[in-house]
Amino acid sequence: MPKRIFILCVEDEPEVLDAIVKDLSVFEDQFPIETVRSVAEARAAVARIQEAKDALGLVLCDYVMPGDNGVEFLIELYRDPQTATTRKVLLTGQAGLEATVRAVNFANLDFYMGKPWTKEELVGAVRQQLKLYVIAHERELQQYAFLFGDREMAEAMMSKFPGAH
Amino acid sequence: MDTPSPDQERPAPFSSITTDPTTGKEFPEVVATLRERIADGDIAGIVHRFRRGDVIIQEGRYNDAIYLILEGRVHLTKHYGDEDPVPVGMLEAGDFVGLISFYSEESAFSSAQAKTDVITLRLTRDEFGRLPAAQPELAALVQPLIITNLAERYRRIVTLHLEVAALTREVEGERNRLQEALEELRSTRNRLIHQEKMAILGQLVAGIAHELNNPASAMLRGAENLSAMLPDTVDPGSSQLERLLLDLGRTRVVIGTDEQRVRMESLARAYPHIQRSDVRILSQLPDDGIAALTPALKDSSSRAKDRLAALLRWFEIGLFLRNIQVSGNRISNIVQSLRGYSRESKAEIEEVDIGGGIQDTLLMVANRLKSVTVRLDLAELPPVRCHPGEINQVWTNIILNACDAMHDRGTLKVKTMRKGKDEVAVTIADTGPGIPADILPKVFEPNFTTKTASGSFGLGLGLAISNEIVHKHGGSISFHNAPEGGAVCTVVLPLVSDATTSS
Repeated sequence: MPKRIFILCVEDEPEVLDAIVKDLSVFEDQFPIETVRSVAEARAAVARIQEAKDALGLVLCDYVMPGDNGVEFLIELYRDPQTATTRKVLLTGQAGLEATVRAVNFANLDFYMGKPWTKEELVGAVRQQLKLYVIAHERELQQYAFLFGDREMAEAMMSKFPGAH
Repeated sequence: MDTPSPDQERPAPFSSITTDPTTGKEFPEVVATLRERIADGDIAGIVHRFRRGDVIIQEGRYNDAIYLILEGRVHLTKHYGDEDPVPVGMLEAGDFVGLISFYSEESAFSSAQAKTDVITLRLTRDEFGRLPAAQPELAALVQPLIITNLAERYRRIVTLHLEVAALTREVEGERNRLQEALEELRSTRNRLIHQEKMAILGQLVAGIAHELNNPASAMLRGAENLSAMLPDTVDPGSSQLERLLLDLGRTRVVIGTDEQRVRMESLARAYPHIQRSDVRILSQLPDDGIAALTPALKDSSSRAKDRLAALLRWFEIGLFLRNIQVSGNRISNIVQSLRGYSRESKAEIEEVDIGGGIQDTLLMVANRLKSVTVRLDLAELPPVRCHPGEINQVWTNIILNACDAMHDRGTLKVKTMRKGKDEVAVTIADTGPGIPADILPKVFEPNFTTKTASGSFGLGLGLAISNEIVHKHGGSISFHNAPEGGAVCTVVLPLVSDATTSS
C-alpha cells in the first residue's frame, strides 16, 4: 500500500467538526482525513499514522478544548522530528495574542484561521499548506496537479530536480 | 550623698525671681534693683533707651556691646533661606541682647528689634572689661545674671528639641493617617469604577442578548421550515428512502471518534469500492440506516453509485439542518442565560432562584470550564430576595477564582442547601492547591491579588466586592481548606434581609 498523507482535524465540537470535514472533502481522495475531538485522541491518531508508516501532512487544530489545548499539541508535533514539518493550522475563535505568539514561536505555526471561517478561506489555506507539504516531501508531484495546478507542480518539479528538464 | 530628684524645685543659683506688680511678669530681682538706680550717677552713663521699632542689633553685623533689658520687650528674628525673617524669640526684662555675638566676636546671629519702648543697660567691650575694677558692685550684680541668662537659654534649647521631637512624631502620625486615608480612597474609587463597569457591561450584555434573540429565532424557524419543505420541493418524487435518510441526518446521534473509526474500517472492508469521504458519512448512520442502504452499497454499478451518492447527500442535508438547529438552540440558551445573568442589570430586588442563577453563571463562564468537571448538587430552595445581577457577580467571582486556582482543570463542586428556617447556603469547592494559611485572612482585602499582572487582568477586587455584596444582603462569605484538599467557599444568604425588604 503506498504511503498516505493524512489531514488531522482536532475539534471538540461535533457540529463544527462536521462543517470542517465537509469543507475539506475536496481533498479526501488524495489526503485521507482523520477527525478527533481532543488532544489525547489526536496523539493516538498520530501514533496510528506513524505506526502504519503513513505521513501526517497537515494538522488543523482548535485552541480551547477539554484537556490539553491545541497550541501545546502543535508544539509537541513540532518537537517530534517525524511531525516537525507537518503543516500546522490553528482554527480558533479564542486564541489570544499570547497563545498565538506561542504557536508561531514554538510550534512554527503555518497558518492562523479565525472562526467563523468561509469555505473559500479554509479550502484556500489548506490547499496552499498541502501544496507546500507535497513539494517539500514528495518526488512524484504530477499526481497532485489537478489539486494544485499543472504549472505549479511542473515548476516545483523543475526547481526540485533541475537536471530533469 | 543625697541625690536630688530631677523634678525637685530648686532655687536659681545666682538670682532670685520677683514679680512685677503692674504687669504680673516674673523677672530677676536684680533688675528691680537696677531699675531703681537708673538715675544714679554710676549707672546713668550706660543707660540706653530705644523706641519701639528701633533695631538694636542687625543680623550679620559685628556687635561690640551687650544690652541688659530693664524694661520693654525685644523681638529676635533671623533670615532663613530666601524667606522673610522668621521670629526666633522674645527677650524681656532681665534678658541680655547680643550676648552670643559679644562673647564669640562673630557677626550677629539674629536681629534684635524693640517691640516696645525699651530701656537697657549698654556695656561696650571696653566698659565690660573695666567693670569689675571700676564698679565692682555693679559687676557683682550683672555677672551672675549673664550665667543665669545663658543657663536659661540652654534650657530653652533643650525644651525646643523636645518640642521638635514631639512635633515630628505628630507629623509622622498625621502622615500615616493621611496615607491610610489615601489608600482607602483609592480602593473605594477602584471599587466604584469596577461596579460602574459591571453595571455598564450588564446593560450591554442585556442589549446584545436581546439583539441576538431575533436572528437566533429566525435561524431556528428557518431550519425547521426547510426540513419540512425540502423533500417535497426539491424532489417531489422522493421515495421513502430519501425521507428516511433526511430524518436520520436530522436525528444523528454524535458517536465517539474511536467508535467512528472502527465503523469506518469495517465499512471500508465490506465495501472497498466506496470512497473514504462517503465511508465517513456512512459510519454515522445507525444500523437500520445501513441496512436500508445495503442494496445500493453492494451494487458497484455506476448507476447504483450515483443513487448512493444522492442518498448520502440527503443524509448530509438532514445532518446540517440538525447542526443548524443544535447550534441555534445553543445560541438561544446562551441568550437566555445572558438575560438571566444580567437581568437587564437593574438594581432591583427580586425573588431569585439561586440555583438558576448559578446555572446561568456556569454557562457564562463555560469557556473556562471546558476541562473542569462540574458537579452540581442543587437543592429545592425557596426564592431568595436579592439583587440578581449582584448575586450572580458573586458566583462569577468565586467560580473564576476557583478556575484560576485549578489552572482551569479539575473538579468544581457547587452545592446549595437550606440552612435553618431563614437562610440558604451555597458551597463552591475546587480541587486546586487550597489557600495558604498566611493568605487566608487577606483574601477579602481590596487590591489583594495572587495573580501577576501578566496572568490576569484582575484588580484584586473580585472577592472584596463579593464580600461587600453578600454583606449588603445580610449574608456571610468565608473560605476554608477542605481536609481532602482544595478550597471551599461558603456563602450564606438570608431568604429576606433588612437590606432587601425595602424598595
